Amino acid sequence: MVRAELLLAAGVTLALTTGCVSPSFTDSDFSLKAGNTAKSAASSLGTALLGAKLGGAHKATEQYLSVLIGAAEKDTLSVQGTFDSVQPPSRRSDQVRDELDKLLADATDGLATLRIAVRRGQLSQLPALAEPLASTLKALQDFSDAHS
Amino acid sequence: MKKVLGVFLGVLTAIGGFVDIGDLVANAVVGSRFGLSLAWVVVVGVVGICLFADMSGRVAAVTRRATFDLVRERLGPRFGLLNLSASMLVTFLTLAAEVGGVALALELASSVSYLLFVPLIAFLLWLVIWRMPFEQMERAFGLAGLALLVFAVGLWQLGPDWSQLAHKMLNPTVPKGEGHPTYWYYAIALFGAAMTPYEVFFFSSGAVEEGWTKKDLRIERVNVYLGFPLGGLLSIAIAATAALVLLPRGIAVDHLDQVALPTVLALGKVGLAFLIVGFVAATFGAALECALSTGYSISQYLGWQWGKYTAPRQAARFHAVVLLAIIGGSMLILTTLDPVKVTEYSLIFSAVALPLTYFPILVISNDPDYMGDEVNGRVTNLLATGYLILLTVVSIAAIPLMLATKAGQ
Repeated sequence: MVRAELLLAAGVTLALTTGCVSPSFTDSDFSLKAGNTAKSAASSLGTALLGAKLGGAHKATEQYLSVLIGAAEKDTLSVQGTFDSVQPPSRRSDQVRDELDKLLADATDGLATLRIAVRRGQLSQLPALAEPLASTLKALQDFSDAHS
Repeated sequence: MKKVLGVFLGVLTAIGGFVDIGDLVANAVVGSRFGLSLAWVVVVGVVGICLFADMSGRVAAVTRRATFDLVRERLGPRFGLLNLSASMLVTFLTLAAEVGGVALALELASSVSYLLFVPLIAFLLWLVIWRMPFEQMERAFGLAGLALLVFAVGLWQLGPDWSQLAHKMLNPTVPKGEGHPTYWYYAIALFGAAMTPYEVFFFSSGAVEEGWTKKDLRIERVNVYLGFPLGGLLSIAIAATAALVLLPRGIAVDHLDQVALPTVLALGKVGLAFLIVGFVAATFGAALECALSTGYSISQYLGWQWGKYTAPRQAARFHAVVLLAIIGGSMLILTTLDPVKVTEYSLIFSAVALPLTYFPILVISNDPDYMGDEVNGRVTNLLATGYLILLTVVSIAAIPLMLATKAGQ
């Protein structure tokens, strides 16, 4: 019975730690982490941009878009925070970090703008507000491709 | 005419009741990352659930007793306890995920935090189980779940190249940027979603609740062999909408709101309204089934009086277990654990527990002492044995793949 309990505890611990971030010891590992972060942020930004398109066309409700864009912003802030907590192993990785941080900051700023507009009921303004974010999305996707 | 209507309603209920939070999340995640290259897993899962649901329904109709009632007697209390513990852990996690699913669906309609809905949902679950007759409960939520057919309408409205979709389904490949371990991890999650253990417990105990006899077996088979495959097609439609809209944009599904996105793009606010009704009905119905399955299984193992047809005063311990399961599942979601993550883990643990769930059904359905001349035929046994081997492989591979891929990242 004790063995079963130990196995259960080990299983739960393993399950809970699968989502944790491990430290980076090499530039290539850091680069991979940066690539994955960019991919995640691009996914969230893509979601919000599609939501903005739906809002502009009055194809979705304010409540739905508020949840959709709010979650996209939260996810981007979360991946940004996780990435920033990883110690870059060298100066070369510092450059990668700075480049991605700039893109993530642009994405989170843009997402906050979209979220504010949605919660003010300004759905028809969403496509115009989303327009500058298209280039950020492209840059994040390119960054992800270059670091995967 | 009344009989035909009954069969028709049964099939519709089976379709609407097939999809739950696990199917919604797993199919949308897979569609957004792997396109339709994992659609074959849904087919394998549906054949498996049809096979074993039919077996458990037949056992219930012939013996007038449900699964756990027989497992302990036929395989002994130790194996029964192991079976019960594994199945209950998975069913409890699934219940929590379903409660979270209802709350997330209500959040989409109101933009009020899903956490605020959880206590209300818990109360309503208890109220429906306490007050609503079994058949009405099953039919009402199963039929309302048909609103999810809007995924199929949305898919048609998106105007895909059908031959290309069929080609991708029939020629599965791992997309660029995804690894083989991740592909197989999601194959297991999808398989777990199609063959969730609670479905069989509920099906078997429900058959006893409704007083099935051998005469009802034909209707049972129509429900299973027509309703479940059509439910499987609905699952593939969910994956297909995600594959058409989200995959090309590099959007990976992490939230329920993203599952709705392709259909909203195709059908606008009307589509969204149908989706929300469907999400609520499917997840609330599944939460009822999970909560009842918990009560059924524990009561049957311990030999307590059980069932909704029994007056609550005479089945007090059964109702207490159901109530505790609802409270526990709701409290797990109230810890702010992401319901979608809870769903993903419940699918993987469900895959781990699959052999423990299905092996006893195969043993009992082959025992002439219980089944008389209704024991399995050769073809059924051959197929079921093949499935048990597959379930064992899936069960062994699930946890290592979860660790190797960091839960599919």
